[in-house]
Amino acid sequence: MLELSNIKKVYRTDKLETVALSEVNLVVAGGEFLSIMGPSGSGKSTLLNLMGLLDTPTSGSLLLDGENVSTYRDKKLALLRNHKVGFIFQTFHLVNDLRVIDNVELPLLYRRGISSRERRALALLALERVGLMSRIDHFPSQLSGGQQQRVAIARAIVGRPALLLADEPTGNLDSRMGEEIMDILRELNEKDGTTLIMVTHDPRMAERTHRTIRIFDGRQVA
Amino acid sequence: MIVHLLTLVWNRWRSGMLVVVEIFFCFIVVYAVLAAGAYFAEQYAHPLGFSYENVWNISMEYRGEYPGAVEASERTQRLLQAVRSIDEAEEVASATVVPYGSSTYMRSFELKGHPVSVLSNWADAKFDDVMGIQPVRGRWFEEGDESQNWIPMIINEHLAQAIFGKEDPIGKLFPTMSEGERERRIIGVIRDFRSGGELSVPDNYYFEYAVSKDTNAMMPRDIVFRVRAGTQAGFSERLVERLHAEYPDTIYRIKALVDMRKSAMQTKLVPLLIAGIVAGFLLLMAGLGLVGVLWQNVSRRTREIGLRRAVGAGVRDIYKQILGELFVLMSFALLVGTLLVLQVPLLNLISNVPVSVYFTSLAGALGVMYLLALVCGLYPAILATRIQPTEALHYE
Ligand SMILES: Nc1ncnc2c1ncn2[C@@H]1O[C@H](COP(=O)(O)OP(=O)(O)O)[C@@H](O)[C@H]1O
Ligand SMILES: [Mg+2]
Repeated sequence: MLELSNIKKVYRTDKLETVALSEVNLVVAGGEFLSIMGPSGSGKSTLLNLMGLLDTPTSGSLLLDGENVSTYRDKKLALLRNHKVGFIFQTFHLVNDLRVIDNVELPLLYRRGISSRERRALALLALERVGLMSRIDHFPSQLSGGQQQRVAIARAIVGRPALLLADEPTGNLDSRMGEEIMDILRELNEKDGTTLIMVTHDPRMAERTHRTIRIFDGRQVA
Repeated sequence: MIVHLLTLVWNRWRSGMLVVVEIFFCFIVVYAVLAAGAYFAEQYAHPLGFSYENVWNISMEYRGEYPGAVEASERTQRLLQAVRSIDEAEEVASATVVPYGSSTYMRSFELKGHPVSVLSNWADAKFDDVMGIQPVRGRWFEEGDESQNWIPMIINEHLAQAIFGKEDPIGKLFPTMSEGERERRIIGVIRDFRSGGELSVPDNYYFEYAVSKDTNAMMPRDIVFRVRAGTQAGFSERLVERLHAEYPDTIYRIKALVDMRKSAMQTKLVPLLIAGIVAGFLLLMAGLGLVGVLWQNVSRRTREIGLRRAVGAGVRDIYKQILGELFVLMSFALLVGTLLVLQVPLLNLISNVPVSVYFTSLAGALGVMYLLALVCGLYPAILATRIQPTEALHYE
């Protein structure tokens, strides 16, 4: 599914140069549930962003389904993200002025050749998967944190991507809600065969995945 | 996508309201100025019916008592003669109302039970030569026309159409205006004589022959004369002296019609110009305000835009999003504005304005506003496209 070789990521600002990642080599198989652990600021999010095509590596190559995407330009990356990748963030990132159903439909707005009817149908299916059918007309602010994260999951899976990336998806939730979210992610992985990569601080969450890698100071240590 | 834009704008109506109100008022002002401009342009396009080049006017102010009709006619004849005596004057004539002057005479008569008002003038047999008037039917007045027992009359096409429709008005009687007057017969039709100038409303107009033996003869007030092309203004002092020698009890003022036209135009156009400048400033202010609001809007929505990029929106999609939302707000404001300004022609609030004026200015104002939106939205939209998905989502 994903093949990273010798990935390096350097952030350059006017004065500062931060090496966020270096010498990262990683292969993620299709259908795998991988967790990434490491202290704060070690480069976990950076790695996830690279794998999700939100950013391009400074050097090294990244293969997605055998395609070397590390040199792709903006337009092609956006297209690939839209079709192949779903994101779940720690702070949900829902659009507050859109109802649940419209939030979930959002990725499909950027997909060609899909009618508004199909969009709605797919969004409803996704919401059914996360058990939020009764909240489709709510605004995000009217939902609990766990519910908001479920909306975000629905949005991530609405386009049926093969790869789901979750950046500390339970970080902002209490443990009961966190468990709920984890159950949903497990089910997506087991039933649909979706490849899942999750950044987490919580060892108990990491234990429930197939494999855990550890990052320390931009380097993969285990 | 449009539904999405509408939904988003609808849900955020509070933040959009300010823009809508601003655009609405701006539109109304732009529309009003354009409508006034279009109105003048429309008037300007109508034929004047005379030519003003190389024509000069002498306006006379007599301070004494009215000396009677005989004396009044005699004065007119002697003054005309005096003007003719100078070399520069090629054609000389008198009329009660001269173009670009300050006076008008309005009379009215009844037509099929409705009162019709008409601008009236009294002119002599030379007036057409001085003013370059060419009758489209019949003829102008001639010496000897006074011997008829009816008053010869020349009307403009507008009036001919109003009274006689498609019939030939030549030889026909003019409707009675007041009891006991001599009857009037039409001997000619002219295209027009818009004495108010190019910016005046085309109206009904007639000339009566200024009969020299008329018992109502008025004191001469204006004499117009045509000079050879290229004649300089130097003659006017000499002419005033000559006239003064004839009748020292009168004040004579000599002006070129070109100059009278200029000042007549100015009195109408200067207010429009000022309104135009004010509207321009308003547009500028509104434009800057709009840029500010949009800019702020974009930076407030960094995360949302980053998210859209993350889920697959390309740079163009973001661009379209920002401009699209602006166009939705704009269209809403303009729809309300259009419905409002359409009430003016629909309820016929202002008479005598051709419908085309309303629609050209409406189209113009809509165009200006959408252009404003495009210009103001461009930079904030470009800023929005620079937002990277990671940067937007990184900081929380
Ligand atoms: N956009 C950015 N610009 C500059 N530095 C960044 C940016 N994103 C991350 N960094 C830096 O890169 C390092 C890794 O950050 P990150 O991947 O967010 O860590 P983690 O997710 O493990 O906490 C940090 O030192 C962080 O300050
Ligand atoms: Mg992080």
